[in-house]
Amino acid sequence: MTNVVFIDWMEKELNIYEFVKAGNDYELVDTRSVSLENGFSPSVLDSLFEEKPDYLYVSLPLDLLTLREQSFPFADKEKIQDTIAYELEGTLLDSIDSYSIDHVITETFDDSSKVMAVCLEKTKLQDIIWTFSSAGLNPKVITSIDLWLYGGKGEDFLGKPISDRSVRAETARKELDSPSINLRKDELAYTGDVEKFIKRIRVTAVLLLVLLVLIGVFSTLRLTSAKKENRELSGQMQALYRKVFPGEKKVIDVGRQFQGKYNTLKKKKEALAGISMLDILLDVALKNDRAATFHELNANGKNIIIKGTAGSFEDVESIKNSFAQSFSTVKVTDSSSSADKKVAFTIQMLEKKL
Amino acid sequence: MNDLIRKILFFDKTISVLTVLSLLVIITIIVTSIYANETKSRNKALRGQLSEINALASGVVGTKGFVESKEKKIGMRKTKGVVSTMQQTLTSLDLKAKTLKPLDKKKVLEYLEENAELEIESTDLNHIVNLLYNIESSPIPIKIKSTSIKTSFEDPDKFTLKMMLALITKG
Repeated sequence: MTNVVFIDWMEKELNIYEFVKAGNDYELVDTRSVSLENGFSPSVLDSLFEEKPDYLYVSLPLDLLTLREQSFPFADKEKIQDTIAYELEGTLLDSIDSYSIDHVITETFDDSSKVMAVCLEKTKLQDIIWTFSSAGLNPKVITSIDLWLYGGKGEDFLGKPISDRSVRAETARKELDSPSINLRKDELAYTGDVEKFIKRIRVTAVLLLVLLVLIGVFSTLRLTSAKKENRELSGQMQALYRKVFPGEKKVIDVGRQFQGKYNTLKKKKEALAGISMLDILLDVALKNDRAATFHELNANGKNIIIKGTAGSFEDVESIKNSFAQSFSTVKVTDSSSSADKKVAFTIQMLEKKL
Repeated sequence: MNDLIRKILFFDKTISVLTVLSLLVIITIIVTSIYANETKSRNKALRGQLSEINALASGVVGTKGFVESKEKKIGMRKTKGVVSTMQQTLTSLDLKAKTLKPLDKKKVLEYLEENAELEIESTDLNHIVNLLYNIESSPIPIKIKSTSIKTSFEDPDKFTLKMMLALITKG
């Protein structure tokens, strides 16, 4: 619900019409009057409201305004507004730049129009705005409902204003819907909505900044913890590397250096190590379990080939399984029974590499 | 509306300052996030490397010890040659070679392999084991490249031993 107040400034009094905007309609909720016998001042306005209205419309009395009737060879409102100042040049007491000017189209013909120019000295307008703002009020529109009441007809402007409050209140309601004129223009234009909007944007921006700062703090903590973990891991790797290679002084990339050293050592070991025949013999002897007799053993660093005879094919399989515990890729490459009912076999296998 | 936006962005100092600050914070967030993600992926790689090195460490220490001990043997003394060295060993074990002849020399990495062929006939398993033990525990860096042990046809307790040996020196 938006509270909208229309102040109808008459010669000797201020009529205050309080409306409530519900949807697109304005509903009159209160009407009161304040005397202006002591003149129009902030102290009069101060006492008007307990709670400041959301929007304030002000109607000025005709005697504050300067009215000029003009004819235009067109009826376009915007075009008239653009050119009216030039048309009024010389018809006003002062320069047109010192006036705030608006207009009401009083009569429209096929290709022309009659216009009532409404002028108010900017100094006067500024004083009026200042008086309101001193009371904490900021009029959104400054109009004159008398222009409506007289239908914009010049000859009737000399008459006294209609004082029937219900008529004036209804006219004020119509002004809220569509102000006939608004003298707050250019540098004196109403900026209340913009200010409200800016205030809201500021609050949003502050909240957004707070949120961003929180995200920033979280992000920084995440980075700090990752860097700490990085230092710890690098330290652990350096320590492990120095433990394995204590003589090494220059350690730049532990992973790469370790892999390089390891590969070199493997190649050196391959070059230096021969076949450990004693170990092979021991393994072969321990796994045999007297199930077979071996006749030949060959080892060349890659394959170990054993030839022998066993009592049965099952014994050959049993020997093969026993060898599998100490050697890898054990397979019987040849087995055949001989005339003496024994089974001759050849087993091929590889040394288990650690 | 455009005027309003222009007014808000360019003429309201508070909003301008807040906008600039927000942009700075956004840039900081982006930069720190990128850097944190990079560091996290580096950490992941480091953790992988560390566990790999941990798993390899004991094996590497063993290999290193083996290589160092062999290199120490190589550097310790000047050997006479593979044939005379083996002849000395055979004599000490009261063994006689049917064949003991030098073969080619071959460079492997930083080492020089002096190869030889040895054949002993009609020997028992005990002598073979003693010979192998002497070779493997010898302070002279000799490696066995291949071995063939066969029982003899006449006596199953007697063996024919053929070996390819290599004396390793600094190349």
